Amino acid sequence: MYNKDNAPEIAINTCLKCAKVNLYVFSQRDKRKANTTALSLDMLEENSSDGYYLPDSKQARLLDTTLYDLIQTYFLRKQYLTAFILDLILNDNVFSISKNGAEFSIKKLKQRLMSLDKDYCKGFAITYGISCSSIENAIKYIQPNGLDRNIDRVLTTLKHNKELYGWLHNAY
Amino acid sequence: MFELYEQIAEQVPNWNSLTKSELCYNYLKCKDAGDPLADSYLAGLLVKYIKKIQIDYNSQLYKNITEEQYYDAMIDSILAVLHDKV
Repeated sequence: MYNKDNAPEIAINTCLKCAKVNLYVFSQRDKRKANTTALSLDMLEENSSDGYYLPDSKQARLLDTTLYDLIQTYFLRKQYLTAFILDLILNDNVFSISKNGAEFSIKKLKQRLMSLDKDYCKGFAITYGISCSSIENAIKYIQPNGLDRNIDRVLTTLKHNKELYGWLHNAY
Repeated sequence: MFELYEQIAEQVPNWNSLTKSELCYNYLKCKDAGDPLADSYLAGLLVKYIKKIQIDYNSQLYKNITEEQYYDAMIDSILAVLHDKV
């Protein structure tokens, strides 16, 4: 390449070829990984690999599944408001930005609780394995009358929930 | 994107007749001298490569990669060579 007039072109072409191969490998990664794992029973759990696994909805969570189980339990015990509030805190934006950073906002939480729609039901149903229709029925129980008081009650109960506290304490 | 680069390149009257290497040399020369024409030479070079990149992408080999991702990766490679990062 040295002393050639078209040296830049040769360098660029080489790099483009390299980038093309990298992109091709990347684009075929799912296929390649799926094939290798299926081929060998000895390698079902590898000590090291290229670190790529297909996303799993449960494993991809930032938090442990304990909290998800807890929300599911609350819902099945018909403590709908508690389940929705915990879910919104965990998965939705109920924080407002202030000078001190993000702060939990009861106003936002209330707004979100009053605007739970079909999309939310679908997401909730997928996350916790509950049927969409029972979630839609549960949402009907959330009424604006006395909502502030109910939210306060739920948040106080959660604050004193030993199971939740213990879990958070161990998690961090 | 393509049209925009072409417009920028047209500030150099004969850019289309220059080879890719000549465009590179001129770009680096102008860039070192702080000449605003550097952008035009670079745009000219990218236009010449974009045609090639377009054909490659349309070969249908890259099903999980968007056209935008593909172009970005290719243009990054070109810039990496020009900016001595290879």
